[in-house]
Amino acid sequence: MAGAGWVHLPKSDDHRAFVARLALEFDDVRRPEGGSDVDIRFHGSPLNRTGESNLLILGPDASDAMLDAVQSGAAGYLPVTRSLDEIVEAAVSVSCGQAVVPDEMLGALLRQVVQVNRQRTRETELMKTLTPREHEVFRLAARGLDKFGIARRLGMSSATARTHLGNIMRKMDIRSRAELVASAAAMGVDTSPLED
Amino acid sequence: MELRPRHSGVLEPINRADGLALFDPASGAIHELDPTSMAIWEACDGETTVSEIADALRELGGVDRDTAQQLVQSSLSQLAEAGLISL
Repeated sequence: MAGAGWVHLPKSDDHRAFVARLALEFDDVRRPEGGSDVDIRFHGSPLNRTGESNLLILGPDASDAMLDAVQSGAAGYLPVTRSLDEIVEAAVSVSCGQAVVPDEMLGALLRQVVQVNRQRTRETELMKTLTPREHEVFRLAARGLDKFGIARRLGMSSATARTHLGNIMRKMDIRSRAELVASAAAMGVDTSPLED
Repeated sequence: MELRPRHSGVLEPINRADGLALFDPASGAIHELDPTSMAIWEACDGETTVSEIADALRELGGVDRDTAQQLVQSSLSQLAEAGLISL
């Protein structure tokens, strides 16, 4: 969907998932003489959160939303409450390959990334304590299979699958299936639903 | 053993019109810091390692590991020299 367009700032009540994306490749940025409006023309590809190196995300003024954006591969994040001038400046920066994070939020974001990385490292270490069979069970559980589905896939009894699941949760200090999926996702394990 | 820098004394981050700074209530001094140095100072909690700070900065800033480590080392040296952290 390449083509010229205008910066559009949609609104949303969704605290985390809301993102507006713009500024993929600028072909013209100009300010009308004597006017306060900024004329921005840009063109780009359909919106895509992953793999975009020059993606500026606009969202709520919250560090967890920003963390979500950064971890999704965004090169920049700005609260939608910022002025149009600031947004334009940020959009131009990310289109030039620079990272954009509001100065006053950088510290909080840095600490959050440290915590997330620490948790990921810890979980990766815990994963090393699993046996090869438990790894297989873990990966299937991460994709939503219950003990019956896991048993069918791996040719074992449901009781054995349950035992493996119990061992995994004990070794990894996991208390629920939801926590298991969250841990798997944090480690980059595939958590896309698998048909039973 | 990894270095785990920590704040020196009681310092208050302040957001001024012209940038970020640390205020030292004991002396009344104000230390102006660039955003990256302020973020690094904030991470100096005595628990977070230098490598953890550099890794997080690499992730956030889109820079390579060596650049992030040099940046963190340089900032930490300046912060320590100014008496804002202890290494």
